[in-house]
Parts: sequence; structure tokens; C-alpha cells
Amino acid sequence: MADYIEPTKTSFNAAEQVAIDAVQQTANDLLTRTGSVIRELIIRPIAYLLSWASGNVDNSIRQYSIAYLKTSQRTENPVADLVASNYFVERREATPSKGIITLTLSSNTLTIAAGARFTVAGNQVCTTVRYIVTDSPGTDSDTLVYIRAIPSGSNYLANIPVVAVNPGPLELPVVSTVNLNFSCATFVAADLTSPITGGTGTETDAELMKRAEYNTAAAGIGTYYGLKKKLDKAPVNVFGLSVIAGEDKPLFRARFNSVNINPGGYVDCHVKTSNQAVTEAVNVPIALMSGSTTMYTATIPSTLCPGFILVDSVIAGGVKPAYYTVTYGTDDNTTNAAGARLSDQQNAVINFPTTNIPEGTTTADIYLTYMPGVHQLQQYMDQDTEHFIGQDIKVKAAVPVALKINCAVHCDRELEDDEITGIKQAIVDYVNSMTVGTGVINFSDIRASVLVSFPDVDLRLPCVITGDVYTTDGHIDTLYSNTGIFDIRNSPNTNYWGYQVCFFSACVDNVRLNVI
Amino acid sequence: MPKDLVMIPDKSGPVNFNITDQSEDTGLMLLQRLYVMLLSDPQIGFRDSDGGQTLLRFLDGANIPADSLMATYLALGCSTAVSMLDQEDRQHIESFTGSCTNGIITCTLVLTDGTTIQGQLNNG
Repeated sequence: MADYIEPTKTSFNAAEQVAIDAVQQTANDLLTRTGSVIRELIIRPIAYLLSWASGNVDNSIRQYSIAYLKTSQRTENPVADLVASNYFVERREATPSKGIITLTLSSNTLTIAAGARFTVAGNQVCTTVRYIVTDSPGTDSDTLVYIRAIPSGSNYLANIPVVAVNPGPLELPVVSTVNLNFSCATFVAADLTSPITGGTGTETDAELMKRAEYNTAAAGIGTYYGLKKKLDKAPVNVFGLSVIAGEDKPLFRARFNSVNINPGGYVDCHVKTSNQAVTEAVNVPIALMSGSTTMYTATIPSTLCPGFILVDSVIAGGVKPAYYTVTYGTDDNTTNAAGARLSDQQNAVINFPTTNIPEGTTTADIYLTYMPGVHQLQQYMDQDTEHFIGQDIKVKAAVPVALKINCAVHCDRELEDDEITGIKQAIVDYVNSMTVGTGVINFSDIRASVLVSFPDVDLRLPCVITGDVYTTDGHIDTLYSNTGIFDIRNSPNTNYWGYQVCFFSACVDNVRLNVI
Repeated sequence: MPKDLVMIPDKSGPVNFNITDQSEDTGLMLLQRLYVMLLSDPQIGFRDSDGGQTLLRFLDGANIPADSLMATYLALGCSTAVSMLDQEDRQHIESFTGSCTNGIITCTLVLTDGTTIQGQLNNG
């Protein structure tokens, strides 16, 4: 039911005059002045009921409008649920963020119970199944997962998947401090190697209405709305997407033919399934390169970490090689490596020198940065029931641009610590809600967004924004702006990913506010 | 001349009323309207006042205070009561004052035509 409102004095006075007129029409010799019996006991109560009813009817009409609900950040609102049900949309519940903690251990064996807790930058995360760290992994089950111990110098590394204890949009970067909340005799260190990310809050009225809008928008095949609507029902949460089609420059695979012209029907769909890129370690066999005694080579098949964005690091025999090179390839002979890049048909060959790597090392652990769910979403799109006939839709990872924001904040009163955190969160929420492919972020928009939640708080220049921009060959450049506008649309470096496939990403730890 | 209903409480109690009579709108009826205002809350019910104090707010839940304190309360309350009346009533009023002796409140209404009307309020 809608929230009730009290009548205004203006509406009460208007209703009171209507009631006075009605009484005087019936009996014009009755006294209706303030303080008279009829005025106080009959007219005023009727005027209140009249003005209450008319005010609340008007208010209800307003509250049932999509335009109004699109401004509401409420997460519990039966009115919004009812409106959304007209478009066959239901509110989504909150889901927890996930990440990976790498434990450095003095031994290669450890058992971690399901529900074991860690504290990451003051936030509780836990394991969901029992993990056994070992040299020789057995067969996993629903409640037990084996983690391979990775030799690292005299110690061992174990990558433990964790989820946030509380559902919601928790975002923690890899630099966060990790503490164990359980005893571990062989413990040496713990680091967050894959950010805690991917959680969603309970859908707000505004988000719910946006999805309702998708259900009513013209959803042509292979268009943004068409794919958005389709992926809305996919098994993996898609927070945002960018559609590359037609003559769009990044659609390399469409021009992979003898005339270098797009014959039509090709669509690349870059998906954002997490607010930050995620890191995972894969273990692959290594061998000496053909005809070489000084270089190892390793292949990352397309199935191991589909659509990964870059190689983060390589560890072979507990040693990081001095350097490594990555050559991307494809499983798909209808396109080239550039066409398959970021898709589940991308593979890669990694070469690195043998220097310092212990003799007899047969495998390497390779840390990859990726966007989760690319393969599952491709499988979903390839189903007969979802496939657009006559279209070749390739699901690819969207590429994050991780931002650090430093600006001034002014308020006429002293700001509490909780409020500072809240302001940072509002900035992060704004950044993470931006559409994939926006390409530019403007301080004035951030400021306006914060004003909605904190009306008496004024964000002010100077604002310094730095962003980690990935290159297509798998490196990271850091760009810097002190104008309050961070723009990646017209980069002089042609090796950067096109802004159409990039999205801005931020977390609270990377926002700094200078109170003035 | 317009008429108002006269409602006298049948018993002690806030809502149990009987309509006993009707009366022409005389100075005495105007005094009664002032009593209604004197005992109404100006903060609620969309009253046309600037939110002044009435006797109700002073007496709510308490015994009648000392006469000297009541004199101040009455001055404020009478002023607010007049301001809450309709303009048509206000224009006939020269002054409206109250005094308190031994817990009995005496209100004096002086009209612009020189008529003086006195009434008493007590805790019965």
C-alpha cells in the first residue's frame, strides 16, 4: 500500500470552504465561524477527511508512476513490486560478493572447515565448503573441494575462494588487509589476490523500473535492449553490457575475410558481470620451447579461464620468471586472435626464460585477470531457445578501468566517520552504476549524485582521478586527470581497449576525501 | 442573525454531548467561541494562528498553577485565542483578557460597541 500523507494547510482550507458552502446551502442561518459548534464538530472533521482523501489519491497516482519510482532508492516497496509485476519483472534479492584469498603456508597440507572466517579490511568473509590444501588433490564433491598447494620459495600458496558473510555490494581491492579468524599453525601470510566483488544489493525501485523498461523497450535482435532482455534471464548476473555490431571498429572478427568487409550478422556482446576484474590461478604444464634450452612455453587453453583479460603473473617451481611474453590465439578458425580476444574461444601461449627455475619443474601457476561467467553466458546464448537465427553473437568480457578518486568535500557541520564512508560509498555506487562504454566520467555528475543522498554535503574541486587502463596485449597503463573529467574516448594510444568495451570501476578504499 | 447549536456536556467525559438548544449569535456566543479557542491546540488541526500558546497546552495533565503564573499563561492564551478567530469575529473585539483567583479563571471580553461580557471557567 502507498504511504499516507497528511493534507497541507492549503488543501485543508479549500476542503473546509467546500464544507462551509455545503452547510450554508442547506441552512444559511447556521453559524459556521471558527469556534462555533458546527465549525468545530462537523465542518472541520469533514474538511480533514476530504483533504486527506484527495491528497492521498493524488499521491497514490504519483507513487504508481514509473517516472516517480525511477527516482526511488527504496528496496522494500509493495507499490513498486506491483507496478513491476505488470511487466513480468520481480525484485532481485541481495547476493554476496566473492573473492579469493591466497594463504602462504609453511606446509603443503591444511584443512579449512566450511564457514571458516577471514576479516578483510574489517569485513567478514567465509568459506562455503570444506577445503583441503594438498599436493595431490582428490575428487571434489558438493561439500569438499581440494586446493592444490603451489610451491613458492620455501613456502606454499593456497588460493581459497571466499564469499562475504553479508549479502550486498561489497567491493574490496586486492590491497586489502586479510586476517584469519581461526587458528592455523602453518600460517605465514594471507593476501587478497582476487578482489571481493560481484555482490549485489537488493534491487532498488529505480533498478526494478529500469528492468521493467527493458521489458517494454523495442528489443530488436542483436541490439542493446534485445540482448539486455535476453541476458536478464541468464544464469549469471549481468550488471551491464556493450553491444558491438555493424561497422563498429572493435568488431574484428566480422572483417576476417578476404575482402575485409563485414558481411553482417556478427555481434559482439561485452558483458560486465562484476564491478572489478577477478583474478584466478590456473595450473598448466610447461615444456622447453622447440629448439630452445633457455625458454619454457606453456599453453592456456580456452576452457581454463574463458575470456581472460590479461596474465597477471607467472610462478614456476616457486619462482617468478624475470619476464614472460603472451601470444593470444583462437580455437575458432573462422576468426583471428583479435576476433577471439576476451571470448571463450581465446587461448594463449606464454613463453618465459628458464633462468632460476628449478630443474624438473613441469607445471606453472599462472594468475589471470578475467571477468567471470563469459563461458556460461556464451553457452546460454547458444541455446536453441535463446539463439537469434541468422546472428552470430559472441559473448566477451567487458574491460574494467579501475579508478582512484581524490577530491575535496565541504559541509557546514562536522562530518562523522560514518558519513565520510557513506559519501565514499555514494561515489563508488555512482561510478559502478555507469553504463559500459560511457567512456568519460565527470566530477560534476559525481557531485550531483552525492547530493541526492547527502543534501548538505558539497563535493568540490580539485578532483584528481587516476585510472588503470588495460592494453589489448595485456599490460596496464595508469592515466591521470586533475580537471575533474576523466576521458578515455580519444586516447592517443591505439593499443588501449576501445572505450566502447570498457567500464569504470571503483571501490571505497580507492576514494579519498579531503574535508575542507 | 445566524444561529449556533448549544451543546452542553451531559456527563464528565470528552465526547458524550447532547444538543440542548440553539442560540442567536450574541456577544455571549462570541465569548464561548473564544473559550473553544482558548482550549484548542493551535499546533494541530490547521488553525489560522501563528502557533501561539493556548491554555490547553499549559493545563494539559497538570493542576492549575499558581495565580501569578496563570496570569502570564492567560495573557498569552487570550491573545492567541483572538488571533485564531475568523476576521469577522475579530473585528468586533476591543479586548479579551483573563485573570485567575483561587483557581477560578475569569475572562473579560470587551466589544468595540462598548459591551463588556464576563465569564468564569473553573475545574468544576
